[in-house]
Amino acid sequence: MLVDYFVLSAPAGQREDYNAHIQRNGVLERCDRSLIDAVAEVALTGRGGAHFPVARKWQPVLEAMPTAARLTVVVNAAEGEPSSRKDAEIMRRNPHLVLDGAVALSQSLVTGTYAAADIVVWLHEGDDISLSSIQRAMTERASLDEPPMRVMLAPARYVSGESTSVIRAVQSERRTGKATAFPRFTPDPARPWIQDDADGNPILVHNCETMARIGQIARVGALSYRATSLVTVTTPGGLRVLEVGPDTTFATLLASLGVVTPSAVLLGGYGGQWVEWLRIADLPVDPDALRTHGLSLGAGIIIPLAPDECGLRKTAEIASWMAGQSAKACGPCTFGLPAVAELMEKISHKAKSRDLRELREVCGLIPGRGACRHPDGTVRMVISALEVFAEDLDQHSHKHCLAHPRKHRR
Amino acid sequence: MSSNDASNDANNDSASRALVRGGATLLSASITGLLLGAGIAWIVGNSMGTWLLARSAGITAYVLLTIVTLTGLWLSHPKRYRWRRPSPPTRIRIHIVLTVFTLVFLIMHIVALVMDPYAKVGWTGALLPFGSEYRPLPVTLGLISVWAGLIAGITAALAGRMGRWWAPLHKAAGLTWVLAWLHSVLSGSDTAVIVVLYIVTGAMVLGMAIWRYSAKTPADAQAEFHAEVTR
Amino acid sequence: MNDSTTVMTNIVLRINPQACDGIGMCAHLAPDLISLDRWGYPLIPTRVLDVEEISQATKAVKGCPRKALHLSADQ
Repeated sequence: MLVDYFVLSAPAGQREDYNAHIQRNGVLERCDRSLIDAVAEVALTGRGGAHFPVARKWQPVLEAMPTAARLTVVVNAAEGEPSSRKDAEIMRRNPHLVLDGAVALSQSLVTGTYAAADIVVWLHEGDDISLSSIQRAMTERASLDEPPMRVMLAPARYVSGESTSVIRAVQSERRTGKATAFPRFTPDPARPWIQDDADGNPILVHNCETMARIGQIARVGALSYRATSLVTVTTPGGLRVLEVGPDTTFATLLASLGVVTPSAVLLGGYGGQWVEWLRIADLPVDPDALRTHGLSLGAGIIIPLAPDECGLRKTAEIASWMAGQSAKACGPCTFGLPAVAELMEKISHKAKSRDLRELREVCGLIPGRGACRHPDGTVRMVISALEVFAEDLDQHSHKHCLAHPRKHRR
Repeated sequence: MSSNDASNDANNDSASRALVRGGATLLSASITGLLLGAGIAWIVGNSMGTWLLARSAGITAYVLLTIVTLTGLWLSHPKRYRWRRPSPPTRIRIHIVLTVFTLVFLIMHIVALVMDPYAKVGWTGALLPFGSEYRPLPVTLGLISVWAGLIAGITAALAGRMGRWWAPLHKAAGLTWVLAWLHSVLSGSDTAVIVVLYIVTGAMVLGMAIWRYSAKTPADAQAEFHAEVTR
Repeated sequence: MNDSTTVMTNIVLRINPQACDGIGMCAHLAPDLISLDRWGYPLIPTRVLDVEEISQATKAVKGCPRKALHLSADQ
């Protein structure tokens, strides 16, 4: 079955209010340690892109809880990338599932009587439909005995969605009344809330889809978990969000959307990697299966290269956009990404071997040297382009292009 | 425990090495100053020798200090990354080597003046403010310039040991150059060529300083971004 | 004895890349350990440091005007 659902229970274009939600999905259960076990059992991974095991992220929180005054659970629904829309789709159609996840999670982790929990939904400014949907959902469940919930608006920038940005915003708002959102160096990555100027209370950030899945697992348990995937596919008609079963292949997915077979796809979005179509066509759209092939679904973003598009040109455009999205806080990102973008731009016109050598050298200087993963993803995407479009690179060195065979490039 | 001892040993070791190096530099500069002064006096055949040496060493020290100041301003310029050559570590080394040379010529300048009975500076003038019989104010400006330079230089040389305070104290280098310029203008403006030198070098440092301090620093850029993403 | 020595020497040099302004003092103070990239920002080794390296790294940590470097126990 191509289209399956575990998360998007509401039909496309419809919003499920609280009553409809309870009728279709049933009441929330397992707001205790059994949720933690169930999530560990299905080996749920984070859907913000990193696919880190969710239950493992909770261990440091559980350790910190006995001495903590409160736990803040954050739903990260700030999709910074223009080619991603799955989280917005969940917020619009199934806002209650997301809040269920946050409620069940905070009640499972906060067991002592000392600590209180609160819930924050982190949303991009300007996403008014999601905003009104989630605010209505909060009003609809105001009478329930649940932790206090509120929306915080993130500046509409790519790096606002980095979890360290979210934590910085929550902490700075608590300290100064104003929320500042950009990535921050975390001395202890397992406990990202530990900062010199913060109060030491744990802040747990999960992607919107991850949180919705936690909400469903709380309801149905590990046995009835369905390992579906939410994907955003870029099609000629715009972005399409689908929830697909683990047996769906990329070939059937694109065929169902009427997308012409591409030569390559950008998997995982702007910070993901280019993959040859022949390598990926018959692989299932499933994070676990892809991992065994050394690939990552990232945040479920799939960008097929259109037939008249030049992969190198597209890469140059994305690299330039990513360079512009840098918070310019760390040297290697501030100086490295513009250098990468500029070289990629040159190469997309004429691939001189000198520029290529230079590009590879600069790419080697960036990964792992910033406070967040923004530069690493950009470099990964560019390096994958050089491999996947190697043949086109050869054409470009003679000022030709596979996408525009007749036309001489400028 | 053992690692601590070892690292202390290594620290003491490099400290004593630095001390020996510094002492050797100062001593050789002094001896060179004396020998050169005596040598020139002997060749010229009159007592103008030490004075000539003092003047030339002073001018050389001033020119070197100007170059050191210019490289320093460049080293701290926010746009320095635009130049790939010389490489960043080499730039710092150039800055340091030039500083050592400046120090050498400075010591020759001081020793020669102290040794010259006609200069009427003497040890008191070289070491104490207003202790000079000859133009007490300009000589004192030079003296304060030396102190400021020593603060900037010694703290930077000891950065690995004394810690990050070298950086704010390094701003004293600006005072060093300004006072050195005043000292030179007020006590050594005897020919037109020299006056031109002071004007040109003064304009160079002033221009460089304006270029450096008007540029947007990473901290400025961060503050801008900070404001942009604060709600 | 053996245990404590292992713990003492299991030290890595870490950088807060947001604090670093690429001044370059660290590379000057710890030339065998830290080199600078083309923009003047330090390339920090990720390996566990030996005793000799720790003494150099300590200098770099102390001399950094931005407090961007620190030594920490390898987890």
